[in-house]
Amino acid sequence: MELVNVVVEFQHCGELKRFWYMPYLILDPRTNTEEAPPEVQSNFPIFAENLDFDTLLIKAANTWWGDCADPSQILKISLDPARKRDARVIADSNVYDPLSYGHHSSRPIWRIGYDPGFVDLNSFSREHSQLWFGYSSGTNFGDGKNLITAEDAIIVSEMEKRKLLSKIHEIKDFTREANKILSDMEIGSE
Amino acid sequence: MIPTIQKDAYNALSLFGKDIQRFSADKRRVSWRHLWQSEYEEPLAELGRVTGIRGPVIYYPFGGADVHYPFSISPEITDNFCQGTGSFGGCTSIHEYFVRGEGEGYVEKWRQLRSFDLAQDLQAVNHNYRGIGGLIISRLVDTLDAKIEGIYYFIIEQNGGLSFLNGEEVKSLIIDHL
Repeated sequence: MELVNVVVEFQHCGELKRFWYMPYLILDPRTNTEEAPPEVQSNFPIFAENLDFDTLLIKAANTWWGDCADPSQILKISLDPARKRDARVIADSNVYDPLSYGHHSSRPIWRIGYDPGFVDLNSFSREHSQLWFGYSSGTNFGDGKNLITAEDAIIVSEMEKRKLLSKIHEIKDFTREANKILSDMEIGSE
Repeated sequence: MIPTIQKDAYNALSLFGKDIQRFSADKRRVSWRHLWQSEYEEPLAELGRVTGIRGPVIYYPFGGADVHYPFSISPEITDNFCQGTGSFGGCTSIHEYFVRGEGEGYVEKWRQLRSFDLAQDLQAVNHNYRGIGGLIISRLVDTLDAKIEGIYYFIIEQNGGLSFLNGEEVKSLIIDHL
């Protein structure tokens, strides 16, 4: 038995609208494998692949790639359908990267060389409120054809990790050099 | 093409409609609704205009119980397809949320708008009420002043098509197993 999905139909601003909710446990390593117990089986990826939509919204996705054994599974239900349809994409400018926790690093979702639009949500804010869009108030937007592919995502992620490592090495070298200077100064003053 | 709700689909609203009615009519939430309208609705609509949101269908993977952003950023959005990790829950779960949610602090907690919907809080609701359906419905009412018309359960077939549950299936499957 797969998890049951729901649609809530409601009136809003004089119009009948629907909120469709579909549970899909993408982070369970058994999902859609032969070992999967019934409750983690889902045909949701097939549904997502075929869904005809106009806009993709990515916001506060704290499961983004981080703990998933196969990142392409995440892209399969998110960026791939939007790229295929060239849907409008609106996303948090800081798509959280759990692998870089503590470094405030963001997962890339746009292809290399593409510069998406940017809006600070707080530029529209009222006097007393602060508006957030996911993990930041920054919002990127663009067209789905400019989204990253799974292969690109792995390359960019690796590049970012290397950049980060290189910065850490730079800081370590700087600290070592500074300590040496300090030590020399102390010896000199003696 | 937007999937259609099959004519013989069972509308589960009749199972907990009174709970939702009571919640909607609670005058204490009026001031909070006014705050939402004055402080948040227009800025989000402006965001939708600037970013060129297109409707009527928005797809929101990892969206969980965030119902207010997708419907506030554009009046064009009529259908929000949202994926989350928690169960929606059956009628017992939804009834319990409306009965205990306020006293246990969840309703108020989820009225505090933060940078994001804390995954831990969502897991707590999912764990305590065996589903997040009550939370989702209360937020639709709270933030959008939505009038709930129907709640339909369905499964996704192997070919990606939707198959809606009838009354018997809803009552046995949902109540007993979720």
